[in-house]
Amino acid sequence: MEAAIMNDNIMRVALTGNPNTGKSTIFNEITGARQKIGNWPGVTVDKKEGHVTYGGKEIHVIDLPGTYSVNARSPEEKIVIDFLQEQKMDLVVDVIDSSNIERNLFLTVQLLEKGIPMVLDLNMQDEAKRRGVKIDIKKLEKILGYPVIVTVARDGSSIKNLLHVFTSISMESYGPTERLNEHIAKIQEIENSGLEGMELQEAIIKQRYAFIDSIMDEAVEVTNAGTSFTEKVDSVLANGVLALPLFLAILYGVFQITFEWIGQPIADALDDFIAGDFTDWVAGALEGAEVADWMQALILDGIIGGVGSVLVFVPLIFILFFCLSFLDGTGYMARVAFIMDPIMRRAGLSGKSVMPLMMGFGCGVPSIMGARALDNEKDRILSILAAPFLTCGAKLPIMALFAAMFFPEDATNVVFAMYIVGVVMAIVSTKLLTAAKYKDETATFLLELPPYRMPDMKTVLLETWDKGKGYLVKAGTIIFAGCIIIWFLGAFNFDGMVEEQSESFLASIGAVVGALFTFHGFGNWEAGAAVISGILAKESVVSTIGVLYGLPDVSAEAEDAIETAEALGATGMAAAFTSLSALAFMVFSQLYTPCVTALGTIKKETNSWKMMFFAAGYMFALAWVVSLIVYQVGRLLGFE
Amino acid sequence: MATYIIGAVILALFVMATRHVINNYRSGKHDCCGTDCSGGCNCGCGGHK
Repeated sequence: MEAAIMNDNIMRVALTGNPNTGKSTIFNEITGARQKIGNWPGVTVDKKEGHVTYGGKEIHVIDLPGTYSVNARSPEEKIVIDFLQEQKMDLVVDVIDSSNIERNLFLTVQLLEKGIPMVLDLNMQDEAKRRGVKIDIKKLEKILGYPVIVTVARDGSSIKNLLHVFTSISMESYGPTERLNEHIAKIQEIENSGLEGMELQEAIIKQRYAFIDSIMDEAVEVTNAGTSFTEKVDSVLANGVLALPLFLAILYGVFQITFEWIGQPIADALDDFIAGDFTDWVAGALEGAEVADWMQALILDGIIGGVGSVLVFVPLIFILFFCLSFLDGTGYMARVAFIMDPIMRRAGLSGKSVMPLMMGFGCGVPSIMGARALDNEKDRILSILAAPFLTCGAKLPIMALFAAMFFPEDATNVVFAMYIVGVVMAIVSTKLLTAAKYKDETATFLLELPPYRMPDMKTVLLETWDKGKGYLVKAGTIIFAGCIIIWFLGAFNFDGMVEEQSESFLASIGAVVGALFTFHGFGNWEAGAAVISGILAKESVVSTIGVLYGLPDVSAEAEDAIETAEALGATGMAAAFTSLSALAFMVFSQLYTPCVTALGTIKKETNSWKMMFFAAGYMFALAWVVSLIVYQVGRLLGFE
Repeated sequence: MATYIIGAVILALFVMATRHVINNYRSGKHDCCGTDCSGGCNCGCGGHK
């Protein structure tokens, strides 16, 4: 670990506490965008650092991972205790959920036993008041001997007070009381009593809770133990027969916002701008500068057509992530894990897998990596193989493009259906693999449900930006490079530049893959090329289509464009697919081989090339079969 | 002349983009997974080694 920087004008503050105590909200409120996120050495746990200047002092804040205890059993616990014992911090702030003070005090008392001086921050006071929890701050200070402050993380004045405390408090004037010392002595007595293993742990925990109970009796009063707001809402949203339909309704609402009400109009405007004014301006400038025709084609068709077709959908990704971050901030996403748990368990997947799998809606990579937290090999492998079926942000442009082009009236419903297809196939695939290879019992799932609360908008926006910005970076890097390669492959063959793309290298390669989809309704070389490029990055499916067919028109008039194209027998995306073959293509794209980054992560997490190639082949085969069924059954039912 | 200048700029951008992808691969970074996993996960995808 790095050495502490001690300087009169720089102070270092560490935030510690249980998960879901509003610690990250405090960190975000204090540091804003002035954050640096890395990793704790040797482990893949986020290390968040930020800074702020207040009262002429530069304050460096470190947000430690949330833990319930510091027994060094998990990487997070080890990080917290090692950090607090080894680093010389100017101040340690223990953020406590006031509404859940009894449980939170377990960590507080444990840290005090280890001789770590700290400021107790009773956060979420608003929630505590609602739940009738009244804490006597003076008594708490008197019992423990350390300063206690009160905050509501989202309240600006609370944060100001906190910063004031950071810069004005002198910890030297605080220390353990006689009563705390007595408790610590009792703990040491138990440790030296000769007890071992579970017996020793039980005796320590019993003593710790006896001390916490005495604090609760004297300093905490619960005046209203009636049904809380969270319990009332949970009785509808998380329990009983309505839980799953309500979850689907909420998810549908998110899609309606993303694809109909806010996202699509922005995408349309962006599409109009990139395909219209911007392209015209660049074309005029290139023409004026007498740039060679092939270079003009590279820029207009290859780069603007390809990268532009992905950029058009980036606002949708941001809006979707905003909605999901907002829901997460309310506490609802934890309920989703709870609702999905019985379904997952029936499929043979541990309930614990639900949380990492849910991250798959953002990106498959953290979802695959999250599986390492699972208890046994079987759960890890099943979770890793299920994650890529979910609709990650990179697949969203594919779904949005095809839905807008071929199902303009029902775009939201079709995209929503694709998300459901992903979830269902993750479950079906797990069931298949469980039946074929992994037949063990699943592990028990313990999940803490945080109280419902109004999300902090700053935190939601920061999270949205954090998750969404990567797609902008990808558009400027891997998609940009991919578009140039695709354009060259589509413009040249061994004889030089081609007149028709159908004579190009790309057509030859794409035709081989395209032939696999003859009975899927999209057995053309363009679709084959898009499928290949999608293994590089899923957005490349759309950028390749953009390079080959030009920037697609996803506006409300798209339906007319399709009809016109069909009537004229024109080439292009509208003529290359029917509604049914577009649907089959969407299903295939949803399910087939994950991108190289996800494949690399599978290799890394399983430490097995065999597993990586199995995942690539298995998912391709499953996608091929399901897509074929969709197309052929659709035809039998009379769809085109 | 303009063709050469624009070609050089595109080539430079292409090299930078490719280097970014290769560096990401080598360091195990992933652009699209963000740096913070809400929901209390410990995937630590923001620049893990």
